[in-house]
Amino acid sequence: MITISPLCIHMNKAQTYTEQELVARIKDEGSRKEAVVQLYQHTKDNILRFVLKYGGKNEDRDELMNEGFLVLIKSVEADKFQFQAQLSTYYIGICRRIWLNWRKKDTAEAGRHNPITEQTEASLFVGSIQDDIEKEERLHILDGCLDELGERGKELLIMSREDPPIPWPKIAEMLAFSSHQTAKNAAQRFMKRVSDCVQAKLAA
Amino acid sequence: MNHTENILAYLREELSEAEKLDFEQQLQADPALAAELSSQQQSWQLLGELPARARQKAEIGSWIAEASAAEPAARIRRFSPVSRYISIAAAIILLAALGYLFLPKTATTESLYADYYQPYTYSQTMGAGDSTDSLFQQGVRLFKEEKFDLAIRELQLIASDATIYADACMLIGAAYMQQKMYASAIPYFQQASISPSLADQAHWYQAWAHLMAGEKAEAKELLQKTAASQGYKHQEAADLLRKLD
Repeated sequence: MITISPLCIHMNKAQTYTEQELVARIKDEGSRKEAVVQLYQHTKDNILRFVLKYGGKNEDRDELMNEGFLVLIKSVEADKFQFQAQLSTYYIGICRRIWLNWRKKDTAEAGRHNPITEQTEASLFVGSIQDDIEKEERLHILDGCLDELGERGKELLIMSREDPPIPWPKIAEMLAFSSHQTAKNAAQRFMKRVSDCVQAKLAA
Repeated sequence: MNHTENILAYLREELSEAEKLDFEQQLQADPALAAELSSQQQSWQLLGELPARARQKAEIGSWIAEASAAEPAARIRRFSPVSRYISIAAAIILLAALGYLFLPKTATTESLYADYYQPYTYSQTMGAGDSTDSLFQQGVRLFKEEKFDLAIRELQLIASDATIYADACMLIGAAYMQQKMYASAIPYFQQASISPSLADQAHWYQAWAHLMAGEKAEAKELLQKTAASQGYKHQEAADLLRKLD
């Protein structure tokens, strides 16, 4: 006789949270995963359609959604989301804005054709969500510029930025530089390169 | 120490009171220095947030990957008109690929590689100099000892305005080639080709990087330049072009 474990039945049942539950879970690190997964499931097709329509590829969607969640979490934690729309609509708006930032050249056209109009969207983003999106964009650019330095250069700058500061001799030892002065000189050069790279990409 | 070099020490709050005062006076007198500080300060502040962001991003990325993998069938629910065109195009590509398989071939990339490719060797000697030169010399030493990953790490520390930057790029590209990391080699050969004395060599090796990465059109374009240059490997480039056609 075949028996079905009650555990299996429980696992197949998809839990759906209310808006309030979703927000509470986004705020709580311990249960955030379920809320993120639910939002992902509810919005991924919509976001994929948008990405494909405006010059992206299938694989761009998850990267965009990941960045979108970083902004959403900050926004919800700071109580900028006031149930002025469904959380999923709010999240799609965030992703859309990030995507438009990534593809600035297509901004005007995307703005004309997107089902969520600028006006509707503006009403969603009370508070300074745009600042969060722009900050996330700067972090995204900085991350890319650091990658251009190579692994060791990236590690060097991140290590030199630790708070409280790690002494240069320790950094030199950890990253196998011949002396603390070499490490310091390299960090100065890298800091200049990264900063120039960020400014250039922001201005592009 | 010049004042630009003080920026990092200022940001890390390593300057003594007297040095800090002196630096701040310089900032008031030198708008370019103040602008440089402002630019680096913005990146510095963001840099502090990056590790926590990277951890959170990786965590969310793993949740997304998990959720995405759990629903493989969700992506192929309906056939829109666009999907139909894509299917037709895919079928044409498949037929073309099958046709290609049964056509007689001139030479494979691997056989051409065995016949024509020789790893880059660095023979130029550099004079002893500042710390940048010593980084370069250490990079060359590691390259010659075939410690390619270490050579790459060392040479990547060389500033883009250093006189030996193009040579460093050439060596990094060559080191990536030795590690069969062809896509990583390409941008370094591109950088090296900016130097007139290295352009021919850089084009030749960049062509090989494209070829090994399966980018035949890009490889041919560079080989045409090499063949036309009458310089380094121009004869081999012309032969190779004939065999690739």
